[in-house]
Amino acid sequence: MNNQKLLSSRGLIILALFIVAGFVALSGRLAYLQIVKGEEYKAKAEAQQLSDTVIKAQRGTIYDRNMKVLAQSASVWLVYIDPSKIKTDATKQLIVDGLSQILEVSPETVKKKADRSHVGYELIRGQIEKPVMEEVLKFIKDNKLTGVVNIDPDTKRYYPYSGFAATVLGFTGKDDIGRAGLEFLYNDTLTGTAGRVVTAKDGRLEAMPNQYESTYDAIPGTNLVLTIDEVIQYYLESVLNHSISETNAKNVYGIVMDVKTSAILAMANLPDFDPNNPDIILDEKVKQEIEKIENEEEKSKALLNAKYAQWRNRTISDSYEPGSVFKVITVASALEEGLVNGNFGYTCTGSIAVADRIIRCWKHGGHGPQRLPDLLKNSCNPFAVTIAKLVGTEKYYEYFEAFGLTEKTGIDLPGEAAPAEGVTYHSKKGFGISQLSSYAFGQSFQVTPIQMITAISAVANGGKLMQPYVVAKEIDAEGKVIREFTPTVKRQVISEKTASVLRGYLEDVVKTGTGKNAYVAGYHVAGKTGTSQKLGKEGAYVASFVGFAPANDPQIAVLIAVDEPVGEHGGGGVAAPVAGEVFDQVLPYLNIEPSYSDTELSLLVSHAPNVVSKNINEAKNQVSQAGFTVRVIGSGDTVIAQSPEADRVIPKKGVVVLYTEANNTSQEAVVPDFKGMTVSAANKAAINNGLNVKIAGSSLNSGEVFAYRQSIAAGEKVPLGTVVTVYFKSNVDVADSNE
Amino acid sequence: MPSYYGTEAYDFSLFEPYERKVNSNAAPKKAPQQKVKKPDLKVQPKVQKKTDPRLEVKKQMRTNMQKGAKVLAVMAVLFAMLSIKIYCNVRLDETTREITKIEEKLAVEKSEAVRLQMSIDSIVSVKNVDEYAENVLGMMKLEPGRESYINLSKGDEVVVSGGKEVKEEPSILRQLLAYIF
Repeated sequence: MNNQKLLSSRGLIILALFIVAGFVALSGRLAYLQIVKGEEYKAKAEAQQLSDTVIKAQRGTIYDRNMKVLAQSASVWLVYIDPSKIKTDATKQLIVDGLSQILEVSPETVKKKADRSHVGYELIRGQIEKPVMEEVLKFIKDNKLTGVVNIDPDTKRYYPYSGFAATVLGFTGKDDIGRAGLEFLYNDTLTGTAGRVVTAKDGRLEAMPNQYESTYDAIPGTNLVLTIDEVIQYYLESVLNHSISETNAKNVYGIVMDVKTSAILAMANLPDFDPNNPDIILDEKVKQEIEKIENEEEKSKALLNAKYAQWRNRTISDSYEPGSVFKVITVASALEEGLVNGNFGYTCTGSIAVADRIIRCWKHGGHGPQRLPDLLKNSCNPFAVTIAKLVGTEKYYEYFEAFGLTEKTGIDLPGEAAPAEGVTYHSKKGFGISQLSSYAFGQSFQVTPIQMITAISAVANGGKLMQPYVVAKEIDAEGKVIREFTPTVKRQVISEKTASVLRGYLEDVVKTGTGKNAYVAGYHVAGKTGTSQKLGKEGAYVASFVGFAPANDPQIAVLIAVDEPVGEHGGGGVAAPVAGEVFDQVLPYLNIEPSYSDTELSLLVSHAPNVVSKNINEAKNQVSQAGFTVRVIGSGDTVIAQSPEADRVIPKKGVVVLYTEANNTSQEAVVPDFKGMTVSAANKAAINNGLNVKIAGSSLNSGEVFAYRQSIAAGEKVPLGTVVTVYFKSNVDVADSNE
Repeated sequence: MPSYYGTEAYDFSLFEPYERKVNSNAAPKKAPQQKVKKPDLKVQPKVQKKTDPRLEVKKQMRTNMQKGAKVLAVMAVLFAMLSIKIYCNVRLDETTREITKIEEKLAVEKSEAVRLQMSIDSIVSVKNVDEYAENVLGMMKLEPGRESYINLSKGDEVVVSGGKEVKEEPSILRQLLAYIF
């Protein structure tokens, strides 16, 4: 009995010892796992159980001043493959064939990426849209390629109007970061702040219910509202397009500015690019030149340079010698100092001696006796030098600085060229009589187009130098204004009185001077032409025109510059007509009421009367009494159709075609080539062909004008009575340079 | 202990029969029950009460069954609660999954809406509209001369605020006559 007790107690002790030992071992292991390896396993568990997703912030939208979307982002997708999971050659070939066809990527590219079997991620193509994404999904599902071919979210920036204001808007890269233009300068504002979602994952690696979720919402980027007007920008770009194709110029650029606020209403330079595909060179000439290069390294270098060239905003980055446009500043300084008035006289003999050199006037033999307004009208160089000498070097330099030509304008666009003393303009120390004489007519220094139009706008708005700007306000996703940019007056440069006098002189330049091709009936356009030779480049010129309208109450200023036009290169003949077309379209759009003189009224267009269903004789009388020429087709008694239609605008003394038989209503006429014709010759040619001419350009104010463009190409067949718009310009007394 | 404040040595009223005051309207009171003492039954230890073993077994079974039923009931309730909880979680999980899928779909459709809107904007751009109007429809822009401006201004006018009436001051003669009469 006692032995049994002893045995059982010993057994219990041993059992207890085992239990204790086991307990100690387990506790030790637990302590090791929890304390020593705790953090490591915690991290592993979190990695396995938690899903941490970044919520990308939507990039801000860019609007024009009327809230039209100019740039907007949307979510798209990218397709990538996991080459390490491609087991067989057949699968690889399937992927290569399928993806290359769906994604429009070369099979060689896809195969090259699929061959990299040691890699787990190879991007095939990004920024694919929903229809293509769905095709890829179907391809994956049909061929059981889940995990091998994958789709991830991506972002794409849309510019709905393609090349519209390309150099102003800029573009973003594939990483949605701004690379040029406003997209670059305002990148931080537009980007927003990314959010985060931390959720627990279930066994299928899918997010679990909301109670396990922590969300940090993404803050969308701020939206920008620009001062750019879509319609004005379109008008500017379309006339610049015509100009570059007519002059074969290297570049053309233009700015339209509100003179009262210095808000930029339009800004363009051509050739430009499509922000949706910024890497594609649009200039055919440049493309062909690059194609000719055989050396690959040189070719890629040339391609890169061509891209930078087309992305460049030349209106703020490139400087040029302003030429005769600068005479406005010369006259302004002399008027402001009270040294001259409207009766100040000077006789131009064709040249003037300054220090050790002779400065010649562009007009051989000189202009003869002139008064101050004639300086600008005739663009007389010796007269300008004389006025500048009256002002003196020191005072003149002060005005040069006061008009903002030694500093940046401060416009909110990247890449504005900074004037460099001693490089783009002379230092005060180095500004002697010789330099003064050259500066007087805009030579020997350089300014950017934005500086020039800002300076001329100061004349237009009563003497205030303003800071130009492109962004009007920043708004949030709900449309609430976060920040609003207001017009900034830098300083009063000249008095209102001086500005008013100058406006009158500049209006004369357009009425009867070198700027007559910028004339628009009913609107008092004022401005100055300029022609300057490019330094170091023989035979290369920049033709320019800067003006504003209406002269009595200026609303907008326009600058047009044509860089290296082929053939005709004067500002009056090349740039002024372009500016005239801009004024002709923009001023009515801005609801600026025209005021016509009697002469202008008498030459204005009229409307075709409605004579359909009338007796032919009655119809003929009515049309003739309205001042039109009648042309009858057919031998019927009743007018069954007319061309142009009733109420259509046609010029006075135009032709109305009356059809009296049904079979003849489809008669056509061939459009003649009006180029080079005078107004009367063009009208006659039109009538002879049964067509009407709508006269555009400076024809209303000049005796010797010639057609330079027509709206319907020569040789095209059109119905009888069709109105063809023919643009006229003058080549008489529009030169401001003898180069 | 009641207090007695009389002068007699004994309170004879205590020895008089107690006359109950009867309220004829009151419900008759129940006669107090006499406590019947329970007989003191002592079970002789050696004397064992005879019981039926079958009844004992039945009773035991009944008790066990009751216990078992209670346990089962509790377990069933717990199981039901657990099942409901699991079911709710599963449904929540599934619904969350559905919501996530729908949200993803919504995001896709929103992006598609942006893309399509951009396409529409591109088609109806000023450039395209202008070209279509001129080249296809044969329309022409409105000439500035065709617009006539109507002046709606009625000229300068003064409006007195508050609808105040301007009272004319009566002449001195009127004032005098008013004073006299």
